[in-house]
Amino acid sequence: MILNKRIIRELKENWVRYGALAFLIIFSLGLVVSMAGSTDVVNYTIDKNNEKNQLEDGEFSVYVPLTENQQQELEKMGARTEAAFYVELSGPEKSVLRIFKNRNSINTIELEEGRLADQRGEIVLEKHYAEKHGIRVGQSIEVNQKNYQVTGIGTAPDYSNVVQNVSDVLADLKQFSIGFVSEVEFNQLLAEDINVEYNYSYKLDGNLTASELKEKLVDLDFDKTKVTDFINKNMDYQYVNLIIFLEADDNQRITSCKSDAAINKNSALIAGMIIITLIAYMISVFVIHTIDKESAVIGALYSMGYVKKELLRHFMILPMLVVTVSAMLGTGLGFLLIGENIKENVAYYSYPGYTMVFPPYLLIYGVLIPVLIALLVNYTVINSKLSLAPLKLLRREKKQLQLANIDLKEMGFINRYRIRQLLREIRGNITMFFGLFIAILLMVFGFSIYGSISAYVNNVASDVEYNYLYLLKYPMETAPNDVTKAYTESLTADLYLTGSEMDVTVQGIDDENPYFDFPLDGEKNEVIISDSVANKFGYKVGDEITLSDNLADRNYNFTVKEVVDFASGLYIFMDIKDMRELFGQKDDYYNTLMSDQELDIEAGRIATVITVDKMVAAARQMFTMMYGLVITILGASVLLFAIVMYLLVKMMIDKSAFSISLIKVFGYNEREIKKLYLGTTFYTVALTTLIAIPASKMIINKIYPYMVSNVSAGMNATMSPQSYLIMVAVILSAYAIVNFMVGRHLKKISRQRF
Amino acid sequence: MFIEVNDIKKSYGEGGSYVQVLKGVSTGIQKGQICAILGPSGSGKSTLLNTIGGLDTIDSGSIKISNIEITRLNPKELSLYRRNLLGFIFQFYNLVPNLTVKENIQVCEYLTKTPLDINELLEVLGLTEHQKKFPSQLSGGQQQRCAIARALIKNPELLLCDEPTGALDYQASREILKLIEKINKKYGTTMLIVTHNTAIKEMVHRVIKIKDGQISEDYANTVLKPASQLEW
Ligand SMILES: Nc1ncnc2c1ncn2[C@@H]1O[C@H](COP(=O)(O)OP(=O)(O)O)[C@@H](O)[C@H]1O
Ligand SMILES: [Mg+2]
Repeated sequence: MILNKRIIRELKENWVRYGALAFLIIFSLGLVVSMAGSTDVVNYTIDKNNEKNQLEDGEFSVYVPLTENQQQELEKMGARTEAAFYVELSGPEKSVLRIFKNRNSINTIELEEGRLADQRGEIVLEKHYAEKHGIRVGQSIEVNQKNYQVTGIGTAPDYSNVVQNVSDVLADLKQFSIGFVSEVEFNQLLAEDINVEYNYSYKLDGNLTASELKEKLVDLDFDKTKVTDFINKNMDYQYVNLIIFLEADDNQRITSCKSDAAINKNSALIAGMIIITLIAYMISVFVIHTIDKESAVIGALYSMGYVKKELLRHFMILPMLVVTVSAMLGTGLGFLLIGENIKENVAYYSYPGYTMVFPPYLLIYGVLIPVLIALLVNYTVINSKLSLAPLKLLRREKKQLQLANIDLKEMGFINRYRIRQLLREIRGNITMFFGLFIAILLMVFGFSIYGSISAYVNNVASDVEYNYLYLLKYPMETAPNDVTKAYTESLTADLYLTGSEMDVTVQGIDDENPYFDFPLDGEKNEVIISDSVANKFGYKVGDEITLSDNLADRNYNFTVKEVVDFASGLYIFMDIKDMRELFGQKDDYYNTLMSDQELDIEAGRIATVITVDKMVAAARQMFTMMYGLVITILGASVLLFAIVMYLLVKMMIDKSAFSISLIKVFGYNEREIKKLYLGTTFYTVALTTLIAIPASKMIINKIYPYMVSNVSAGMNATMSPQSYLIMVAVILSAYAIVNFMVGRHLKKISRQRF
Repeated sequence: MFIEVNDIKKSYGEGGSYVQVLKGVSTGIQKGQICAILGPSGSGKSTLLNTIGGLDTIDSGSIKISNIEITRLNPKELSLYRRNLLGFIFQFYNLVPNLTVKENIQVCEYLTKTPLDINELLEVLGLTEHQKKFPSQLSGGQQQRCAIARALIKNPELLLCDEPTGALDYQASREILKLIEKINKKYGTTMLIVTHNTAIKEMVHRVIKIKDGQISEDYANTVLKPASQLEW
């Protein structure tokens, strides 16, 4: 159809407009597709690796190792177990290395380089640790004052997130990692009477459930004589040998890499569709603008016998062309950027080198769906526009809005004119409202991530007043001087966000504890929760909360008495006396030491050390990790804001070109014209900003907890007052720049006519 | 009769804004004739033309074109009727702005299987040298010639012109009238021309004067004055 020739010319004449829209599509799809694609690549890589290296179904640790018979008994029931005992040794630069022996059939080591350790004095290191310490295969490393030859570098599927404690918020890849030695070497280490964690990995054959296994382990008899005398004296282990029972699905070392990615992916996919819909609608607004402008021509074509179908097809070509081509480019770009996008993940999590996959659904998402959206939106809008009778089109009759004729006698001329103009261009202004709204939503999101993480970093540093916290496996006969004793238990709470459970730490402290300044009096079951817990689980003062001890299969009910500032981790505090009573411990029982200085405690006694400096450093690291994302989001939002505003304002001015030149003839000067026509935009921008900032904040507040649901700290979407100021400044400058550019265009118009 | 219009009535609006625009108009026009519809502004000329062109409906009466009762056609059939039989020329040309002269004509060439020869038509209308220009690069007269070419390319049996010279100056108007005359002779096209310009009545076969929604005068010229000799 010869009529289609005008499409190319239309494109050429309005290349800025369509170029900008295409850019937005390419940019946003590129981002979204690369984000989703990299998630899929990570998931694919991890799934493949987990299968290849036989990822455990779970793990457990015990006080006394299982006997050969017991292991066979478990295997008969349907649980294959493999010992994954470990010792923790000091490595270079004050780092801690958790040493295992080589694995046979569960969680096997994926070597990236070299070979497994098979001699004494050999070791295989986790890859990030090796890299951070600049150690290569063939070099040696000093571990526990002994030299080891590094024979290989690799990863293990049960440590894709290399955290020391399952409840750690972040991994510190330089400070903590894992290593593997030969069996002879490991036995030697055991013989050196180093404190050993008797950990086992298990795989279920399908006939046994995890909870059945747990019950079995709880009931399992064990040789009490093997337990050191000290524990014997101090512990009432009439109940169980089992210390930890952790299913793979609840183990963030295994899950967090994938679940992190999943949340980002889903939100990116949704955001992408919203933006595509907006752009598709904007394109239809421009097509409508063209149709309005050429309404008489279309009427003439109808008069000559053109039918709607033909014109509809014709007017659909341009939007479909723009969307299809840019969706294809955007998706292609997204695929190309997967490698770039994945870098951060690769640098943080520990898994083998990835294989690129291009999931076909992304092609559907990135090309087919935008095309369908554009088809639907443009068909609806253009069809209704072309449905006017030919005579009406010929007379340039439009569906006049009643609103445009409202009585505005009370207002001054300028305001009256502006409001009329606003109502006349209501479609453009509403589109602008939604466009700017989405841009502002993105902006608020970016600032909220920034605010939430910087608040976390600051609060971790300021809320935690001790410098060292030692969690002991069993108390000391005489505690060192200058330490504060406390009692810590790890329980789990239901997290409504994910439907799963999350570990919380209940800490019993006394009134003399110098690191906390809240009073502990009150009822026995009253607890004080950290704001972190309050945020994470949605608890309020007065709430009755239930925490479970999964090992003992017991639930504890507490009432929230107060919420205090404590950003680090997920802590619940209570009176140590009440807590001892509740958990059936002796009057002077404790298992936690808090201190200003580093303590000299034998390694075997310590279950966990928390060093506040390290914790803050880790939090800072999270900050750097998120920085790129924040900048991308903010950049995208500013671009979206400026482009949407520029295109729509320019279009509305083009539409009014005739009346603008008329007004010029009436003797208005350029400044006044600018006031009349651009003032309208100001109303829309101001109104949108006023509505969108608080509304976006509310939306983000609701969404944010889901985005950080697997982080074991309660982070809120917070924005500092400065962020609000910066945002308003960014919006105003974008407005000023667009105003300036459109102002120049306005000058051209008023000079052209007559 | 090629066109038979029988007692057509047409009104707009309701209640207070009710106006009867055509109050029973009847006439007939033979094939190959040029007919001028004259009358003061607001008398209903355009309305009559539009109803004949199937662009507007009537309240009562009948309109037969080439023995087709067009008042009974549904919108789809009306489109087809316009496509097969009609050409339109408007006061403000209504050319597609970003198509060249030739392309504008081709837009309507598309509507028929038996178009006229486009180069001949360009030649007849004096547009050969302008065929690659865009409407904005042409004078009003040239644009109207392009619009005429566009209407003629599908060799319509009936050409409907609403104030074809309304926006043109004296010289350009004369040129257009000469062309209309020439085309009528060359292609035998039946033409209905709504106009203010009373001088036209001397060059056409039929003159219908409308006043206040009714035909006030309806006569045929026996002797036609060539367009080149019209004075106004
Ligand atoms: N769509 C319409 N709605 C209401 N009134 C109309 C409409 N179209 C035409 N009219 C009225 O019909 C009368 C005749 O119009 P028209 O046929 O255009 O006159 P002419 O072409 O002779 O100047 C005028 O009074 C005009 O106001
Ligand atoms: Mg008229």
